[in-house]
Amino acid sequence: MVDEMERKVLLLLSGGIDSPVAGKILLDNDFEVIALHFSLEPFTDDSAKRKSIVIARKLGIKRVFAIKCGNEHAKIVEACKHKYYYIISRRMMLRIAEIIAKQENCRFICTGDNLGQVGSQTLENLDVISRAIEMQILRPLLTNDKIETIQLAKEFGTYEISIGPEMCSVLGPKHPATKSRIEVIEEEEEKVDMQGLISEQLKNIEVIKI
Amino acid sequence: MFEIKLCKTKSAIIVKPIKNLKLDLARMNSRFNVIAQTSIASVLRFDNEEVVVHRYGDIYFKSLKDESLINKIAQEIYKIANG
Repeated sequence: MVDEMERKVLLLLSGGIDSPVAGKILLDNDFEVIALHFSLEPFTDDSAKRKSIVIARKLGIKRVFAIKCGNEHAKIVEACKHKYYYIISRRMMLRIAEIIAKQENCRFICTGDNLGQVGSQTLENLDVISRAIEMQILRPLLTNDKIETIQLAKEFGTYEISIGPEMCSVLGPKHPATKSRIEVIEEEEEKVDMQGLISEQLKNIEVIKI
Repeated sequence: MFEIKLCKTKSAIIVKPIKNLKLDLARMNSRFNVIAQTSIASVLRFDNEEVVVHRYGDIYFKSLKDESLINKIAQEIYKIANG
């Protein structure tokens, strides 16, 4: 049991290019991987969720947890400074991931985060995001460049799925904060009922067996 | 004046004003069937179609592909929210 837990990981699977590659790297290193997908419905359609399921099937991931989080993300947009939206929403997603990971006896959470690839993924922001939870976060692509990750996605057979149609999110800021500080973010988070938002999302988890 | 095209990730049809607008979402929300809202965007329902409206005027149609109907709904939204 202990050994099983040592190798079990909850992957945050977005349907984009990076997270499937991160998951495949773990699978190839003998980790057991289950996945969690956050769908921004109703502010998007369900195309990202459908892609995630296809990707999970392609990679041999047996279970995907799917959560509709659009309404809860909207509450963050309403209450907090918009430039911190990505950081606060990511911290919320990680808290949910940690709860599910513990329930599923996972030792780690894995993401497709990649340093500096988008404005919000700076070292400072990833540090603040990571501090939302205690569990270790594996980021196999952290220092990859995009071309390298795309090449891997093509090798793994996930690239064509990942670049398929997916509706844009409208909730993000045009100019996200790039150098956040933990004390500022914690102060911002006090403007929302974070526990309430997390509980709402945990009530409606869809478990998809592949 | 607006253009109708596929959004950059190719899933939805997007109506994009030629010039940036700042829509009155509160006014719009009071006149349509709203299923979700924030200060920067609302999700409206027209019959079976869900439409995401950004305050700067972009309108995303989740599944509708009929251009004449898209045009009609967009005009209706702009008339109320940008009137």
